[in-house]
Amino acid sequence: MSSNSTDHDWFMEQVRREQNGLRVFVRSLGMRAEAVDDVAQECFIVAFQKLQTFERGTNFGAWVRAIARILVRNELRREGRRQRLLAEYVAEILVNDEVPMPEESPARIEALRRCLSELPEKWRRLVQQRYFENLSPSVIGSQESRTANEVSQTLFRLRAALYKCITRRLSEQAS
Amino acid sequence: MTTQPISDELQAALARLIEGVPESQDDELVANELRAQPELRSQLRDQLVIDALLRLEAEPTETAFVEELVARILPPADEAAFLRRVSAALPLSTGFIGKMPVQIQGWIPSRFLTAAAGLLIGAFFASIVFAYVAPEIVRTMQLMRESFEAGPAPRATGVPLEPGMWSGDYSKIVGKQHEVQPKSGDKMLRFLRADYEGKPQPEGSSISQVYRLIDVRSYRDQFSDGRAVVRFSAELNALAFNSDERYKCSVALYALDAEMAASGLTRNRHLLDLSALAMARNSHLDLDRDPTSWQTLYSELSLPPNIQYLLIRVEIAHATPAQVRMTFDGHYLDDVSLVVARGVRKL
Repeated sequence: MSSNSTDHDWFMEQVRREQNGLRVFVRSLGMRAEAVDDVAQECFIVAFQKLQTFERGTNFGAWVRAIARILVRNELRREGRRQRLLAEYVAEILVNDEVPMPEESPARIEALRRCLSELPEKWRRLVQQRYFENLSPSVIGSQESRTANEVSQTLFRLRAALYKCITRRLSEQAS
Repeated sequence: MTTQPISDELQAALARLIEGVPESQDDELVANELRAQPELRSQLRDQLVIDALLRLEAEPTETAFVEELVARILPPADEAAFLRRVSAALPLSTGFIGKMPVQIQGWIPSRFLTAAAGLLIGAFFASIVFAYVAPEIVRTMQLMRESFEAGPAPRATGVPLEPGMWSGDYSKIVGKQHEVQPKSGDKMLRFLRADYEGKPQPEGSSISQVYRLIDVRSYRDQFSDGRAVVRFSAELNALAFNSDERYKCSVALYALDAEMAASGLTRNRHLLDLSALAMARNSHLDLDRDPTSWQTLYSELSLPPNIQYLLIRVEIAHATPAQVRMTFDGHYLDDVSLVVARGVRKL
């Protein structure tokens, strides 16, 4: 562990900048939503402990994402920890499928917000219920005379639409 | 996300998986298809990305995330360490001496800071760097100590709107139960259920919460420069439970003004997080299976100058999907303590 306060300030600045991107990445490796913060913090703790091995000027975000991959692989080997995974086989497939991930950016968040505002009213309400009010699909379904499965599938289609919209907006911006 | 169409059956299975509630027949189907189709892996990954972004958008937790991370990197192992952290993090002031209320527990001198000595801690605690050396003391004040020996029984009426009582989900004060002895005295609080009287939509609740609202208006002149920190600690324990179960404890501290405290908005978790003057949270205590050992839960909050009430929430959660249920079989809280501390220049 480094004892230099400038290092610590620099490290905390990296944490503030990379935390959301890392949390998104950890979820994409097949972790359960409620375990994401735990795992992301463990990544930063490892990064802090290994800070002296990190070469300044290289990509800190890529470094902590590589650490995340290692931690999730370790998770697969540890009996008591597997409950933090969506499913073992899912995490195993996703963590070993090393495709490049776009870095989190304010532009993506802004695109998400604009895309949310363009959703049909009934889908906006569903986002509100599921994410902002944290209601489970079964509770939402019981309020609206639908099954939990139907709600989950609608959420699936809704997220697909959001992803498409965000990608389109970002490519428009880039061009 | 690719637009490769997928069957309804597969889509339903993936949707359940993302929600964390797969059905038994889903595994084989999803595993085979994921292994065979890179496009499907891409779709699942993109779904998870959007899900995570939506969660972050719905509940911005950047500050809490950093505070929890700091607590995990530098756990407050003991009172002295806490006081050193306060010393290192808080600017000095001269206006505090002579105004302390009778609850003063004492004051603990500690020398600080060379540019190197306290900075490891200070930099992490609040990113404040001191470039000078000064004699310093830390004053502490016991704001609350609760071992449940006396006082009114906890209410099961949700978040309290007035100070002076424990309220929240169903709980009760008990004496020794099986192998669990109270941490101190003869009584302790037992968490019973994950709901309270008249809770809307109790279905699916699996977290039992107790709250206490504390009126700090009489101390406002001591908090008015925003240089005080409150430290929460509490002891938690449980009867022995199955090895495949996991229980997670957490605490949240909210600084509120009087309007917010009495408004009932505190009963909406989202509004509470958004509207509190300041908040801190620590959710990194997993209970062990040894009923003879108590475990300590900590958190700390820098008190904003305009604080009038402090709301604390202690909760215990069924932490694996398989064990999710409304009831708690033997989970206990004791020795809740709130200590306010601040560094002052020694005159």
